[in-house]
Amino acid sequence: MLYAIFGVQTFLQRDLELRNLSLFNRRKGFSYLFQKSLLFPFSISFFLSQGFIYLFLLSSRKSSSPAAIMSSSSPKMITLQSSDGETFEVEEAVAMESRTIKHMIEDDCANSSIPIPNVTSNTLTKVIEYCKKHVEAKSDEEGLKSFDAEFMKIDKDTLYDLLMASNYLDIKSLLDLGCQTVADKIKGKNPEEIRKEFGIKNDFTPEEEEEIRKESPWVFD
Amino acid sequence: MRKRPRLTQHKASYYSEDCISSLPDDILVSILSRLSLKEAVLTSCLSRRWRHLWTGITGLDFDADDELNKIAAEPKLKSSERSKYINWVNRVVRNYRGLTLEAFRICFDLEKGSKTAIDNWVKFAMAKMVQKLELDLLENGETLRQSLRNYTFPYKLLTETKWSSLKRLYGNLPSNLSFTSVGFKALKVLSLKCVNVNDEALQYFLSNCPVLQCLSIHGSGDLENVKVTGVSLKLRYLEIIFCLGVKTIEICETNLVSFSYLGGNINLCIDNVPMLDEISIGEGYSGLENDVFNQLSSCLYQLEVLTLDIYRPEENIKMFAFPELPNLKQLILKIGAWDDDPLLQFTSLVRACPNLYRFVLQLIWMSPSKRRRKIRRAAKCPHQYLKLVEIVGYYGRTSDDELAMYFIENAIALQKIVIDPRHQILERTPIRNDKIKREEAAARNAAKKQLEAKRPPGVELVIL
Repeated sequence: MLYAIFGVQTFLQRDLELRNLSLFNRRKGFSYLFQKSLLFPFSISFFLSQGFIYLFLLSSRKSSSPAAIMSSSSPKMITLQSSDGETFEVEEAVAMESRTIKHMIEDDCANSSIPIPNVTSNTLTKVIEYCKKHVEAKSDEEGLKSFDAEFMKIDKDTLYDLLMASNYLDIKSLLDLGCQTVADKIKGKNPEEIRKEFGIKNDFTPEEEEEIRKESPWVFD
Repeated sequence: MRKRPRLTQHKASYYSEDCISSLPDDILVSILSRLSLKEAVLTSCLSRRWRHLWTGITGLDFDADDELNKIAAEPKLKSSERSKYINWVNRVVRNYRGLTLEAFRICFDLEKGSKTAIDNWVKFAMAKMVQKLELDLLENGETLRQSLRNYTFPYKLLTETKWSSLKRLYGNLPSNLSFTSVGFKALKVLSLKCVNVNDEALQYFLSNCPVLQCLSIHGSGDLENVKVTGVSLKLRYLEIIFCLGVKTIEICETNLVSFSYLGGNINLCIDNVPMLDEISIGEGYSGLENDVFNQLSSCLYQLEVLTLDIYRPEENIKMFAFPELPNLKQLILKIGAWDDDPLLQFTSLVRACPNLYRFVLQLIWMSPSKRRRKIRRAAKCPHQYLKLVEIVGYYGRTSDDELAMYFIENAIALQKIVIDPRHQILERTPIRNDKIKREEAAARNAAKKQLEAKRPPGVELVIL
């Protein structure tokens, strides 16, 4: 048994030298943990690495054997921490909807919980709800459309918070959805109606207003 | 003095803080980019914060549909509306502050008289690294004009322009530009309608636009020999419509996916284009002249979608035996409806496509009329895979019914029939508006009467 494990370990060490280190880092699952264990002295890490090597071999073989499927089917959980201290555990796939978080995971800054300083727990709950649905029902276009329509039935303050959160977390589909919702609220209204809808104060002097109207006569006539 | 009572909570929405203005610039610009150009400019008078936000929107679509309708109703307004339009575009171009443009679209009746203005707009679009450029200069916004009066695309001017002069004109340019020669380096989609493009200009596009994917040219006068070759070309979609000077089109050893041609008789040569999936063709007066199937013979077996534009059906069909099209999934026939010309001969084309899944017949009402005559039946030939049949522009003629009956009887896997009894050509001033509405209503009733009764069970009949 000892010799078998030793043989496997040297083979994989050679493999490591051949492959690009960063490529290794990007692989999901246990490959990074396994790599770290290789650096430990053989005698100390023997029992630990035994298990890791076995699982690493399975995942790298890319076969559809039941053992391999079993080992990769338990989803990795990521912990997110909102600005007011609340923690949320989400599946890695759901968290990866956010490109910001995705880059953090890939660059390995995501070992413990990820702090999201600009987003409150209320907003983060909604963001996670959105991402979950979009991961679960990826191929169901009709279902997603009706979910999005319902999801956007919120008050303006929540909408702005969602826009800021999806901008910071770089979730393009949510940002597009939010922007389109606001644009739909602006469409077809004249300036006074838009000001009323959003609470915008007109801080122009009458001379400035006149100047603006002259700049774009085709719009203001 | 009595203190004013505090405003109650439910009125807070009107008096609440202006939270939207505290969103960062790029989110607000993203919101404004989803509005039409006029609506986006309208926001400049909301407040100081909003005054210049619109100048960063990602697309400029100078759509003037209302003005074109006005001109169609009152042709005398053309020159005044034209100068108003040019002023509008010039002002917006002057005020624009974004670094790059995603889309730039001009849609108005402009001729070579407006050359200086349009040249400047094209230079502006190029400076802003536009990705989608559309010059829609159709006469009245709908028809082609005599090509001598068309504006000519200034490709020579573009090759001579230097970045330094563009910087002086349009200040705010992307800073990552390291090349001195100007060109449409980011252009993906180019659509030119009623803009004269000659052979050299076309080669200029193909060689200087490294990411060009879609090229569409309508009504250009000077095009004679179109040649598209090169494995490195990213061109996937080519459309040449009504360029009446074209003599030859050669497409060889390239990765084109879709090709569309409508016009006179030409020498068409398609060779070694492995990814070609879709062809839309209509050659000559009747549409299938010049032995078009022979010209396409090298790529017919790989086609998945074929559209045939047949202006006058009766005269030519008997002449050609249709070759077999084994991979064809969708067949679309656009046929002019004259009198009660029979349509059954087209079923031989359907028989030549054993794997056909969708069949569309689009009738353009030229001078359709209904005549009582005996319903003819074509030879029975069951079709295994045809699931969807659409008859668009159904008039209610006997020939329309004959064709519908053929599919009802022969397509054993049929799932859905869609009948659209509406006039297919939308004009700006439909002169015969009432007559058309009556014809459409009559067609709808005829469809309901004739086809509802004969519909087999399991087939969905949709009458729009």
